[in-house]
Amino acid sequence: MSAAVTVTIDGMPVTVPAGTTIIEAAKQAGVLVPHYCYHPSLPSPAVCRMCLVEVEKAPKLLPACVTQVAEGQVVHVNSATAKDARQGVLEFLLINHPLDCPICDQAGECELQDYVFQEGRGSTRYGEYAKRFNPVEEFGPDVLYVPNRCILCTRCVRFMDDVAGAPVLNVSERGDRAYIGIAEEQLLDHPWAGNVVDLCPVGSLLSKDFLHKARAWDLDKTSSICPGCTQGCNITIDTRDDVVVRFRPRPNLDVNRHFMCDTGRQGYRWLNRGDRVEAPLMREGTRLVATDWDRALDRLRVLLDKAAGSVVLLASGKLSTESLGLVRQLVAGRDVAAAIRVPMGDEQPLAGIPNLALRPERVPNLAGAELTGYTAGFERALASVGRAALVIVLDAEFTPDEEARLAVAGAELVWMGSVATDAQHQAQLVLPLTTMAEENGTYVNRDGRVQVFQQARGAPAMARPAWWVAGEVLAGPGPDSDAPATGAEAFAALGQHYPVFAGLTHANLGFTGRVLTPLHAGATP
Amino acid sequence: MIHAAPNADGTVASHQPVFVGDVRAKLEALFPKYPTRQACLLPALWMVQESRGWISEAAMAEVGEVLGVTPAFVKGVVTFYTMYHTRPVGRHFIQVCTTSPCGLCGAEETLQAILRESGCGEMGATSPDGRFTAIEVECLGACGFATPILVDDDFIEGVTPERVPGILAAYK
Amino acid sequence: MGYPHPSHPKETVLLSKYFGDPGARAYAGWVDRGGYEGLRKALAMPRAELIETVKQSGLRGRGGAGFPTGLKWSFMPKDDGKPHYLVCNADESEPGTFKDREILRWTPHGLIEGCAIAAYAIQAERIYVYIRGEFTEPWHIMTRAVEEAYASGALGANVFGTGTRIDLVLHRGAGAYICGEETAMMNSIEGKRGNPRIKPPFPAQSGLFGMPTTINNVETLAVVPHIVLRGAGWYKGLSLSSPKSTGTKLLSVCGHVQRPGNYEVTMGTPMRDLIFDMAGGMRPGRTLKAVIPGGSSVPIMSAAEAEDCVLDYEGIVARGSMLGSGGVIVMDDSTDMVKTIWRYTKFYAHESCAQCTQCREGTAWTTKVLERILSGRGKQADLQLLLDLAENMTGKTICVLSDSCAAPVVSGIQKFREEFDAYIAGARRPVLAAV
Repeated sequence: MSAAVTVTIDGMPVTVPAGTTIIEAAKQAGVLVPHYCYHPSLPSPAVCRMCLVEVEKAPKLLPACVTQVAEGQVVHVNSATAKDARQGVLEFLLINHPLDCPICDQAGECELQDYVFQEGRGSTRYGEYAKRFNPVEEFGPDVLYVPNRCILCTRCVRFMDDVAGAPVLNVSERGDRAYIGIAEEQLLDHPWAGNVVDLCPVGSLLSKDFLHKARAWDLDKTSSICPGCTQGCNITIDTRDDVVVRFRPRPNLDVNRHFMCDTGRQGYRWLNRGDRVEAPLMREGTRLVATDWDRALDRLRVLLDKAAGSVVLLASGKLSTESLGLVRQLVAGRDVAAAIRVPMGDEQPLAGIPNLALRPERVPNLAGAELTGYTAGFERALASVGRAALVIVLDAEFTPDEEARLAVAGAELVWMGSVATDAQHQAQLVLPLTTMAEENGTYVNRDGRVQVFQQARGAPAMARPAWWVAGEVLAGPGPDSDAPATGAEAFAALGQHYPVFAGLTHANLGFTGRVLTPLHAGATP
Repeated sequence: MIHAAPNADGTVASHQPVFVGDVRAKLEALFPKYPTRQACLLPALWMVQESRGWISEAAMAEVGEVLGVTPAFVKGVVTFYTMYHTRPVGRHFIQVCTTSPCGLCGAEETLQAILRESGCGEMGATSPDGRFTAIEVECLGACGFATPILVDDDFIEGVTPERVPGILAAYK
Repeated sequence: MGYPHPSHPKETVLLSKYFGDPGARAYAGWVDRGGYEGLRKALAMPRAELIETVKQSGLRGRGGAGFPTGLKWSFMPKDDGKPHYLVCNADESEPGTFKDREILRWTPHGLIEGCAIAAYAIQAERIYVYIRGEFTEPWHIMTRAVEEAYASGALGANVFGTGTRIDLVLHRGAGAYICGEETAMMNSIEGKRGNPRIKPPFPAQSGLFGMPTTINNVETLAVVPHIVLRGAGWYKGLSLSSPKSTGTKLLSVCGHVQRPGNYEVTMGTPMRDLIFDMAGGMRPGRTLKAVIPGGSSVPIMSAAEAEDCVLDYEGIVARGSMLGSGGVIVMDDSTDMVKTIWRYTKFYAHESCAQCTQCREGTAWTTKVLERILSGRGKQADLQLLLDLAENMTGKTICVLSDSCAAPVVSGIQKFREEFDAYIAGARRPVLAAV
């Protein structure tokens, strides 16, 4: 299978491993073969017939999704014959389609719309016949089925059958009466079911959560990493007017292929919280008063210098490695109990994809925290607050009981956080932080893969990344400081303190990240 | 919902399992004949239909459980094959071939006669006395003996409108 | 013989010899008529020799595609340790075809014998005979015959004491024309929707339950014992025309003839003899208008093409159609071609499995356009539309169901355009209500 095969696709020679399908080889040649039923993470049924291509010497058009390349093959994706065939398919797909794009969520990111626009007929020949009609059906807690828009590509059925291993969808009836069906008393409520909405190339399967929230063309899309668990699924954050409206999976064949779980998918709302800390707050007597960053940073330096004794650092596992690492460096060399809170849940694997699951550890950066000097022993760290000279909260969240325990005599409390809480009133200093959607940074997933997430929305008011705060303090006061000014610079600074990251940059991590090599093992300070 | 099937009088009865006793034994006797349980799906559905006259969603779920496939899978299969009834039918089920070869030889008139004489009135309907349900079907594979019809399991050839009353009289 | 009519002198009676003879149905009666000698002989032959014999006979698949049977058997892997399956296609559903039904009803043991020989040749321990659900009587007859065959040692763990194991399972369909397509049939036996599969892989590599599988039609298998007993040369000699078309063929003749029935003829017999002599010709006062020679999936022939045609694989192709399954549908001058063609497309629209776009939508759309024409509201542009749709439905899908739907439309418009024009021009009274 490792032998190489050279083929020519639309005039472009390309060499691919034997066994590659024409559709994949065409991608290598920079040619997109239009398709609906084919999906690289699903078995191919070759039923939509959209990917028929002309192969020289073949007696008829061949489906590019299941036809393997052969040495010397000459393929025409955009010949008149192939285009005619596609136009025919598009015409058939449209005769029963309601053409309700103005009210369809998929409009703007619809493959039917795109290909019809690209190479469909300008007008219908279907005439006055009634279109097929079936009522909208609720398939599950978050999935609606609009059968009239369905093109029967069966991606959803195959996902549930072959990937989720929970065959609750079917093709019912036959001929032009066919539709996607579900058994009575069964629901599309699998923990990974939401993927059928992404897989649907048209607006037939819709997310109730996203229903009519935004037009696709109004969305800004940012590549990111799911903050839901240690799996580190690659995602796209879609924002509209700076509000996060959905998470969608972004392909990374080594981490999540093309999928993400429903828990992760729904975990975007906290990024839109309104109760944010918007300015640094400094204790003046019994009150916290808003201040500017220069004064706040000075106060932080004082508090750090003044603290003679152990330090407790209570952090969130949603912080970037840059933030965790550089803040940890603020108290390097001292007696420190540093920990992140790791909420636990059930593991929910995606049966058909090895090593892909919603992990029990529901934080994205457990590995990054461990590499930068934190433990998961949050309770123990919290218990040692009573003996500490300085307690730094780094966006960790607490129960009311725990908040009460933070107020101990003799310890100064510095609170860096993104949201406002009552407990902050006990602090000497409150510093407003950005969330992961508001900064560039990295997470390290459970397999040691360092992955970059990018800023998806603006930070509220004066909020800054924790790494910026730490960088400024570490660099000392003054305008000529070499403190990092960007996430990428912060990552470079991190490498100076933690050799495990040496040689890596945001740029060379790229869109799919890199796994830390064994050379780096045990390099924590 | 699923464990309920409407009775003739409109009341609702819960689903009584089909695959118990002799029927279960009959199904299990098929298992060694196929390398997978799933392969027994069509035979199992026939058994349900023989026993109940039609295949309810509850029965589909039961078949799925017995054979290790999901109710949705069973339903996809049931709705593919036109001989399986997904709703109750009359005591006698009449299938009339009207595909072209029979159509050339008067199948339409035979169909109309059957709809009229049986009291069904229209295709797919059950006669008011619950005796017959009649439908038009595609080629029954007896084109030289137009018009063939199936009444339950009885394959009757050469049916003409004139013969219809006599044929139907045999089914009470 | 021309069941249900007496044998005609122009027939060559081989498979149909015992049609109508209830005595041939029972095991003992079949043995009295020389049955199971072919199986006994085959079991004593090396498999390679057996396959070679069938190859040499020139036997081609009688289900419709006409693929050389011996060659098909030779594709099966040898001694690969995997289970092999033989599937007998008794899902006869091609409109116009009703020959296999008579084999199943009258000579069940002849079929079982053919199946057993084929199974031995391809090292299949198990045979599945897929009988369409509507064939209730054949099902009961076959069930009884299989029980007898087991009881008599013609099937089972030790066939005729040779140590060969051959099991046969009857599997009942449930109403789906497409299950006659070989890969759809495999899915159906596996308990799935009868969707045709993509090829490759071909059944001989990965077929039923993923194992090497051969699928043969009832008529094909039923003739095998005769070839084994009487030799490849004898069978090959049964031809009046091309060496590529050998043996006899059961032709189901239906429609507007005086004696519809199954006629068994030597390959190469003139179609004129079949229609006008054996089947009794047209009804009084009627003349031949058109013939569909190979089941509804093949192009329609005009009367001139049919009258001048030789009945074999090549002869019919030379006249613009195909031998197909051998279902000869005869239409006289009273036939409304537009309505007849509409009824065919309605059949295909009903039977489309729904997988491929062109078939799912195209068969239904084609039917609607024809309905519009028949309701008197057609336009001239509809004819070009029908041809365009047919073009988009031909050669583009997994199986040939949509091609089959297109064939009568295209040939109908080509050869009987004036009838379409008459509806469109309002010169013919609409026969369907407006849609």
